[in-house]
Amino acid sequence: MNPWRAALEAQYPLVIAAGGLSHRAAIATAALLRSGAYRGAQLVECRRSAGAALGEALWLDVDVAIGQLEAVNNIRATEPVAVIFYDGGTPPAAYPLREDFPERVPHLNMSPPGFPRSLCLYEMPVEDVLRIATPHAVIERIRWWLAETAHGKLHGDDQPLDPLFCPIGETVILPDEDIVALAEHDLAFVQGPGGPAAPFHLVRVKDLQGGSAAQKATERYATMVVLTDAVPHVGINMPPATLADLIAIYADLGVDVVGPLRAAFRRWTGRQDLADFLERPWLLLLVTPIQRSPGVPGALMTRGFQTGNVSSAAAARALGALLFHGNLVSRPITEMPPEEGAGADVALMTLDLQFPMSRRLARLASGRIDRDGDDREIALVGAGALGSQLAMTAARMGIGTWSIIDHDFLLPHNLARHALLRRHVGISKAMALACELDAMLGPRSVKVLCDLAIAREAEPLLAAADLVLDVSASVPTARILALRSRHATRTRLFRLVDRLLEGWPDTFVAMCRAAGVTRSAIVKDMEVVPFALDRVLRAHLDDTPYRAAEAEVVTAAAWLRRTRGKATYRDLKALCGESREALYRHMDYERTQARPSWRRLDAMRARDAG
Amino acid sequence: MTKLTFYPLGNADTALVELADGRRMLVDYANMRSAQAGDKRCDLPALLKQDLKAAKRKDYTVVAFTHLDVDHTQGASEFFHLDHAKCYQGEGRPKIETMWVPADVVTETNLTEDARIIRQEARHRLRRGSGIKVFSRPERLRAWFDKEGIRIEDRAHCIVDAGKLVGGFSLVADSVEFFVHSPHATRSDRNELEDRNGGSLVFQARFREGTYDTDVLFAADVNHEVIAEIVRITKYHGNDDRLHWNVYKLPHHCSYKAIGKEKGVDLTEPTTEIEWLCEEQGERNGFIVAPSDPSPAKGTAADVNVQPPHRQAAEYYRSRVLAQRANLLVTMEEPRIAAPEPIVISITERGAVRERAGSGGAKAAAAAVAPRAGAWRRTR
Repeated sequence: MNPWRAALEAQYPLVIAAGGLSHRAAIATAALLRSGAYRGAQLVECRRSAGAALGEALWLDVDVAIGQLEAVNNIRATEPVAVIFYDGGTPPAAYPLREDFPERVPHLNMSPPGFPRSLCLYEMPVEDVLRIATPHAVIERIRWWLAETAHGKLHGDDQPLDPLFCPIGETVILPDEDIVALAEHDLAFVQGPGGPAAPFHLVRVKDLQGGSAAQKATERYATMVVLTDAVPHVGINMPPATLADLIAIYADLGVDVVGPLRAAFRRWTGRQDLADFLERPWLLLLVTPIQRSPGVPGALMTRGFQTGNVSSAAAARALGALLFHGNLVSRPITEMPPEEGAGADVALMTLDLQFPMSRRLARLASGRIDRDGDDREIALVGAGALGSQLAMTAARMGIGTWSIIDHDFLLPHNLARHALLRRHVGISKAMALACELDAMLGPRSVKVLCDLAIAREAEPLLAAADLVLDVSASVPTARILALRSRHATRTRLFRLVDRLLEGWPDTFVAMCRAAGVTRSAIVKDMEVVPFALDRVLRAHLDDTPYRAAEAEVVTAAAWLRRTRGKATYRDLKALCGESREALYRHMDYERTQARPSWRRLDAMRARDAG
Repeated sequence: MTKLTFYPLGNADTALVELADGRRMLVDYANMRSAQAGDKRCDLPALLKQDLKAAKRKDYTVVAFTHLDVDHTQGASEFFHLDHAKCYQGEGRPKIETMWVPADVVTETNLTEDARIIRQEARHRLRRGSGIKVFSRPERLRAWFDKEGIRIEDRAHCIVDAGKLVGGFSLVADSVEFFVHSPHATRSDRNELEDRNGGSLVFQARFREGTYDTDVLFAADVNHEVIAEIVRITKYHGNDDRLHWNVYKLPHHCSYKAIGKEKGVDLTEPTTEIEWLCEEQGERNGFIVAPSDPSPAKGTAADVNVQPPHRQAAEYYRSRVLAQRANLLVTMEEPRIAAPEPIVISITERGAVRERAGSGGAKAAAAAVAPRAGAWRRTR
């Protein structure tokens, strides 16, 4: 049961007549609903806030087209919704009013706990929304949101999952290593140059080599990395303000976070410097898998929290993880549930964690997650202006496991077009490029060979490659590749098929059309033509029956004689289709017919005469 | 997308089915509008011609006449292009590719007006051997064929027996199939085959959209006894799903006779078979379409009238069958009694969904980009 209706009624206490509305969009929406021309929703009442700042609201009963397929979320065929019109360049917001409206569904906008949550209707800049948000479009959009949510389809299968908590707070760039390896280390934040807005780097204290960096470093943190059980995909939420909030949110989703936290604290008890360590503020890196649907993993959310000036001992005490007797710290013998509201005094500050560049991040950022073939072995022949740009661009998208073959060195004038930088001048192009690709894709992911023509070693690299890119601009090299590479023909063939299958069936049908292929030639061997294909075929291809050319019939007849001894009408027809006259001219007559058709007689006569 | 349109014609039936590939089908045609001012019934020929023009079509793939009563046929001879006589042809008359009729339409005598003309057209097509499906056991038509000197075997392709799918449509290729329930043969007490009031044409249309099949039951004008026979026969053959419905086009304009023997005071009690058909085979979130005048209020003159609609029948569907009272769609009541409009139901991959006037259908909303809350910094 949510208190949303009561909260909104308190915000908009004045029930007014439709004629009393003053907000332009509210007037237009009420007019549409009262005109009778549109029946996607009914107007229940109009309301206004006590102060002018909150604008006006329309209480609607929205008709939801649910259908008869069983809904997965508790959305009704008629949903009470408040549409709120704010003053000043903000699109209208839609708040569900039903007490048992599902709170844990994706695409509800964030709000502090207990406050009403509005439907997330658009993902576009506000000015673009305002441009299209007519009364009709907004209500249709609300109906669409509700209907899609009813069936759990609002969040597309191809969309990335929403994290449980929105990323806010100080931006912190994580070091270049696995996050699990950070557990229990002395870590500190170092702010980069550029003023107070610059992001922080999380660094190991031992890596701070005296000087300015060490001075700039913040307090040292007691770091803890905790992996929780998976949570369902419930959309995005405000991050917890205290440890108690954090526990409550996870408990609400059926996941115990206290157990893993306690276990992590107890692992600390083996430390020599435990007392000192517990005095430091707490840095919690919390890793939570999010499921796309029950049992189907979808995403991994990592969120960082820190306790500022509060020591990690306070958190351990609140969780009941450790027992404190003066200076003595011990593990409790029995497992007790934490007290009600425990951790309410441990304030958590959220961090906006940024992961270091990796192959996975490169793909995510390029919208290429889950693509096949991004790991393939690519042999780059030539690391010049073209090859370097190509390889760098592909690597930035997380594509390829590279072998680079080039014998040249980077000279100053190359910088005009090359992807490498001034600091690489004088170095082997292949090696320098390999270093840069390694930095992007992870260490040692690039093999290097400095000469193709003289090196026999190139052959295993070329043979192992799934793709050979010849960007050498050299005729001899192209010749060598043509001789040695086994890929050339296959690649051409697969590229053709790939091109035909792209946008199936439209590209295929368009190409058939360009080649003059008729519809009958395509559907000839299909027992049932798939509806989707048939529609496109009928729309774009010549619908006349396929008639084989004379030469085709002659060849088919010869083949039949060779393989089966004779070319009967039936066999020829199966091969060549309904080209009756040509069939009669080239088939073998072995039976006399009582009433032969005139075509057959003509053909026999012509054959005898010929 | 497949779409069904039910027209407000008073106590009369016309349903337009727009198939997934754009072909049009009509179930009955009854232009009931009179010339009098204030007649709220729609101008059917104008609406249908408008629809054909918008779809750039000049013909109907199928026109089914479930039986020859005036409220299912009136004005048909003025609207359609009929093959059997020149006087029913001319510019602007849509052609009928295939006509569906029950056997009675071919064999009945003493007919007048549109009923007679439809019979002549059906006979003409049957003689020709194309453009017609007659729904019946073949034997039922033997006498007529003998008189015409036609071998019944030569017209086998024109005859569809109850309990069969109508040829020419398949779920895979056309996204639709039709299963015939009536006219059917039942054994009489004397144990000889005879056709009963199965008379009119009852069939189930099954539409496939995506992975979901939506069933629509067109029940012509049969009464509860005929429905009971259909239920018994269908259950006997294990074809229960052929009486499943997402949309149920009520027989006989919301008459209590399609539910039970007694009208009841406030609600008609159903027979066992009707209860099974409505409450077990029907989708609770589905739609029931009553092609009828508005339900009379209790105690009014119309309420005393023996003619349908009967409010007791409407109450049964509203309170016992449907999850939402509003899902009983009376053609002369929607969207309001003062100005009824055609009821449009779309067949989607989630079943039947009612189109709201001016809503622009699913297209309007789906045209925009999906929201991606929280994905504004998608890389995390």
